[in-house]
Amino acid sequence: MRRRGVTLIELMISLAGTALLSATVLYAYTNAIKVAPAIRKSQETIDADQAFREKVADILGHVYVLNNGANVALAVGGQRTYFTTNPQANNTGLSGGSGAASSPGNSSGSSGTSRNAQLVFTALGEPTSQAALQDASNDFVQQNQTRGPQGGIIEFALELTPVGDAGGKKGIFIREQRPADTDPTSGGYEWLLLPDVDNLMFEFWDGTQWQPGWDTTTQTPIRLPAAVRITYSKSSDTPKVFVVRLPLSDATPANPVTNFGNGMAGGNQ
Amino acid sequence: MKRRGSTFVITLAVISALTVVVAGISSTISLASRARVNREAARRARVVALSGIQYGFSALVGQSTATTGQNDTWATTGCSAFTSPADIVYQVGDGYFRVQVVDATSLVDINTAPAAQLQNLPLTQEQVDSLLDFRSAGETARPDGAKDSVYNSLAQPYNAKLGRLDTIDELLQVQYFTRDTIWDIPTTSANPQVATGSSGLQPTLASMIAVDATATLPSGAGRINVSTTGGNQQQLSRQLQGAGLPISLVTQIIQRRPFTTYGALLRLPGVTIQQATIMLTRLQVSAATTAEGRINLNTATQAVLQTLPNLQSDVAQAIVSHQNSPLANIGALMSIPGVSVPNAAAFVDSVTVGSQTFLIRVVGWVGNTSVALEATVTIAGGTPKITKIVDQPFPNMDVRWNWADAASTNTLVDPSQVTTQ
Repeated sequence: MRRRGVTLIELMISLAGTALLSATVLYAYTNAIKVAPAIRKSQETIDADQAFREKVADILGHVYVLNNGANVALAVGGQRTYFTTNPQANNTGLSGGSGAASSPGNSSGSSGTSRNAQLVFTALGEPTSQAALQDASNDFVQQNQTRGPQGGIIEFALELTPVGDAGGKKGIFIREQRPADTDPTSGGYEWLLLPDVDNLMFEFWDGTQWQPGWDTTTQTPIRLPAAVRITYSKSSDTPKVFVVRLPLSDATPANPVTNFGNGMAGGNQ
Repeated sequence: MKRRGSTFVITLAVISALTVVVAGISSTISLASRARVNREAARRARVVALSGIQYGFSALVGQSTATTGQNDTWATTGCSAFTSPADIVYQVGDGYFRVQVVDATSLVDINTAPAAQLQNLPLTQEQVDSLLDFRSAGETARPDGAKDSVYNSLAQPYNAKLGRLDTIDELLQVQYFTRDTIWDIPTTSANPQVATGSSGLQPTLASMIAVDATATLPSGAGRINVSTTGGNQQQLSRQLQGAGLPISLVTQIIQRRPFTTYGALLRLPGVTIQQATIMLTRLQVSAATTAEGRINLNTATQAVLQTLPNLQSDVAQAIVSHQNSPLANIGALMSIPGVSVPNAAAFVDSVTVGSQTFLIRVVGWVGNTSVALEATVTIAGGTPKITKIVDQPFPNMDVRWNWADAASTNTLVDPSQVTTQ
């Protein structure tokens, strides 16, 4: 039997199909290559943002202030703990936000105008370094050398302007000092927690409304806000807002905080 | 000549290379997704643990601070019996927690314990001296201790705190303290042996110590104050005789005032058990209503009681065997068989029957991820309040806290009723 070959039309159709398929794949591929960096950058931004929020929620979740209005006998040992928006006396940079009518869970509200906002506080109960706990050497001096001091009260600061040299970097810096000392203005290590942020603002829920400042070092009795609202943005972007509840606060609508420290009185009415 | 079959080999190589690339991508995605799942599980386990703290806290609402004993609600919260701590598993949705409420005055307060008491814990002399130096003012170190000069010379320097410790893990900042000192279960024979039984049953240091432990001191309108020298002597004499003390003892008390400790009262010549009971029940030696660091006779284990320098082991055993009938006041101590006036005089000012500080220990878990927390609750003015929540370093704190094995499950929130978002 004579073997039959393909006709020209069949060949043309298959060639056209292959060409169409190749063109589609090529188009998709080049497009993917083109947008990949943008997608990666966007994902990195989302990841960095998520990591920033998780870190801030974590450390604020561990805020601890001795003699939190409960037991005066516990205050032996001096004022080593604090929660303050500006340890350098005048909180001129924090003249208050907006959104008095909003509840702690409401993330709408404040606009992020440019401020040199700063929040310094002591935290307790942050997990001890697992690496230090697993260290087989179990030697005090060696562990200090490799892991640094562990346990106890830590001082954290969140701010746009670091205490040390920013090294040309811009954004929200975190400062961590373990153990905390009596000085809330400096000490410890600091690094850039979230880059490219121009505006940062902290507000504090006293039980009924948001307050622009808080300073337990001059507060009587010492009480923590029920929650902290953090607003941040790049200069041209829409501000991002999130709220973190402080587990050790006893402020409620029925029992709100009325004294926020020297120069901190007066909220958003 | 070109070998036949080379196309096949090339094809295989290309397919292998592609497989490696795809496997790599898949592994990266899988790792990233697993990390996300683990983070989420840890977050949920923490929420479950926090609900366990609230559950334990509810047992302290309405708790009396005058008398704290094993018949109180808190003592059997989370367990079938006081002696089987945290043997009930509570289910909350798809998470679980176990909880133990601990009277902080049943533990040794490392902020106030004197050297003699610290030496009865499983600590070396170097550790005892270093802890005392770390928590107390002054710059002169004890022979085996350390002050700023030592801590400042470390690779990552800091100052000695010279104040009270805020958490147990802060001991890691004290010279000679490491993980094994605090949390490891002693596997070799401890010296001194802190609990009876085999070395495997020795409690961890973390399960025996606290940093806040406020006790209630005997006080009240009905008590006769002998801590001052002032006042009307005749009236005082009548009050003391009215309380049931003989005139000879009354005269001695009035002459030797002021008394600042019950021990000094009990050491007066010829005091009988009955008279000691009256003195502990009716007299007052301090204006203070609270004190830190006293051990609760109603709740402390024998191992903790035996850390008191002047409390003999047979007396400690007698006290523990009496704990199912809690002492209503410190005077009831004299009713325990084996407690004499001289040995009560030696330790009565280091003990209490009422507590104002409690610890809530919780392990919460979701799947294979667990989180352990310890909350401190202080009762001031009749109102309990959570003053600290401290993350614990190990997920298996149930073992390190000497919990009993889980025996039963109690469903608090039915998983079928939970909507996951």
